[in-house]
Amino acid sequence: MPDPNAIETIRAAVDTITPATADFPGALALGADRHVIDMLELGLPGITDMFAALLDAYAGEVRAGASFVALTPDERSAVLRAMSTDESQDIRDAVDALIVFGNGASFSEWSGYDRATGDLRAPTTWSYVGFHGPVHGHPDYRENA
Amino acid sequence: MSRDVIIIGAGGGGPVVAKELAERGVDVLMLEAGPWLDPDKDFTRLEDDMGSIVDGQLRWGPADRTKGPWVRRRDGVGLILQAAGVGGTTLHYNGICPRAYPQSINGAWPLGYDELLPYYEQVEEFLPVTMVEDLATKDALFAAGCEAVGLKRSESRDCSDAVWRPCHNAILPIARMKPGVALRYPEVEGCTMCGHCLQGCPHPVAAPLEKKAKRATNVSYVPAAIATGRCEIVPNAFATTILFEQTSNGRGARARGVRWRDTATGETLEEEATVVVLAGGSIESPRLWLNSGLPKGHDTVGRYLSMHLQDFVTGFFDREVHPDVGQVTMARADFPGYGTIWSQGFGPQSFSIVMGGGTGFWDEPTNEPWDYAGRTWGADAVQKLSEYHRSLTIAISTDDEEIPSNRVTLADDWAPDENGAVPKVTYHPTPTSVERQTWLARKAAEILKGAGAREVHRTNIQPAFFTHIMSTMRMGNDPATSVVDSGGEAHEVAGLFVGDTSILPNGLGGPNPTLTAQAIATRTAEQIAARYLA
Repeated sequence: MPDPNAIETIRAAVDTITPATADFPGALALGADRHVIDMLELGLPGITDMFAALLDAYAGEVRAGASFVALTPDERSAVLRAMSTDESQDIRDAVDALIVFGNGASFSEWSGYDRATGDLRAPTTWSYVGFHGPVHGHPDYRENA
Repeated sequence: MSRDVIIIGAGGGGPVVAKELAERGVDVLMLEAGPWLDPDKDFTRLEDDMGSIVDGQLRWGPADRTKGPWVRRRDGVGLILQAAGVGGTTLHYNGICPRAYPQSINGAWPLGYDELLPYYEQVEEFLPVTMVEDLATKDALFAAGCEAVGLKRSESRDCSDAVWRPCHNAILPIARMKPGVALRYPEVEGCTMCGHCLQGCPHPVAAPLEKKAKRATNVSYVPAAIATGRCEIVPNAFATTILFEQTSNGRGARARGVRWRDTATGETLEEEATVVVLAGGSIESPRLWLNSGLPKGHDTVGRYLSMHLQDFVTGFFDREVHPDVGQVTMARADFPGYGTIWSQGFGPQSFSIVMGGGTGFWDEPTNEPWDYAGRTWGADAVQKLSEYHRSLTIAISTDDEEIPSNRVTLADDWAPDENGAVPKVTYHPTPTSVERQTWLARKAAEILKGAGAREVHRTNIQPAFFTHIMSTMRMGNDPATSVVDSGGEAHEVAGLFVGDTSILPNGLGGPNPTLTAQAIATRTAEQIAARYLA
């Protein structure tokens, strides 16, 4: 189980990548942070704490002594930018993982789907981006577009 | 118990060998590391449930999704999209089936393009592969962009010139869908244009396997092999060792069977066979060779990895495009000497990753034909993602150079998993490969602008994104630069053949590799029968 402070750090990163806007609920409202942590831990148990430590370490480069959660949105963005251009592939991969799993939860069925029962509530993001959702076919594949 | 043939891997190539041999009266056992899914019951058409690289049904991992995926150590390698399961990566492939560029085969392979043609035709007839009769909006837009930059239309299956063409896909022709008629078999037959090719194709609903629209091997070659009554398939069976013995003559060693692990129970089993066929894909096939302690006198196993150095370029339009409608790819353009590009449909999860990954940032202007490249996040990204329904993405597949230092080895400094030492995949593109990729990205951006895009984004993927993984057990006449001979049999191990994309001597010039791998697998089955089972 990840450290509670690490969970807050991952939440802050997910919120930086896919924030709420006037007409978009934001990744946190969809629970995407839980998905990020679940995927990280299933892939490599314990890595959430490591990711959080990385974010905090880079936060200190942006504002001395500050943790990632203490930063402003622009400062958090600067951290992600610095990690994205690090010479280490592992550091760059950490940002990729946050984006892949955070966006993966926000824009897929994940927030509205129960794998156990198969029940699906179309996530609000689908109407936001104009996705039809799962269908059996598109008879009007030219006309409707 | 002893079999005529044991095939390791029921992906794109293994079932081809199985069907061709079983129809000749050969007794075949085919092992598959992943599960055997039922398209009607299991294919939910949902992006995360099916496609998540960590716990999706089409991931590279065991059937039990509460367990983590199987790991690979990566050096210069980003996401690796491979599916475990009967059907393998054809479960989530686009179904695009182009032939290789003749100029990438003639003189570079131990056989010529003309010698390949009969095998292409055999696979194309069986699957079948047909040219799409109509285009969805995204593909029509791609075609319009191609015409705008001066590319001519071609309908030929042979790809020698720079042209655009409606795709030849392993997807049944578009269904006649009349208003008010249920979208289920037998009311409709053929492709219903649902746009879910990447999630495994369950359509038309209730259709028998031979009538499912996308002709992945789980609904084509596998049922045909089973119908012979001479092919047994064991899913959830991870091959861990090729059994062999040293010989004092001939090739130096002789394959004699396979040991595997039941991924559910952990039980170890083994069987003997006259012939063993490696078809676990271009990462697992060399891994299994190395983990088995097979000879490696020439140190060629795992080398010459090629993967098409893929990328994505996306255009945003002032009109509806709907990238989720239609077969995911229905039009392509070929540029021999550089590679190939195609219209790429997908759902919003994939789109968000294409827009979020890569190198560069959304707020940094460029001097290129794209407006920005690389990562997007924050409120700007959210706004751009809202434009999904007005976007068209072009996928790039580069004619990347195969060099010996790009390779699969064993990650000796990592702990082994339950199936043995884990593979390490190393890929660093040559400057020439990067130049070709950049050329294709510029061409894609020009096509999008020609089609009317008001804004263009290049993902600029780094490190490399792996979907077409090839050439690690390549075919050739010289054991110093190849693993198997022109008949697909290992230079150093008698009775051991290769039946997947790892046998391809190079990246074909850029075209998608499945059709060519299946054509070679058809030919390899002939060779197996002639050499050992006449």
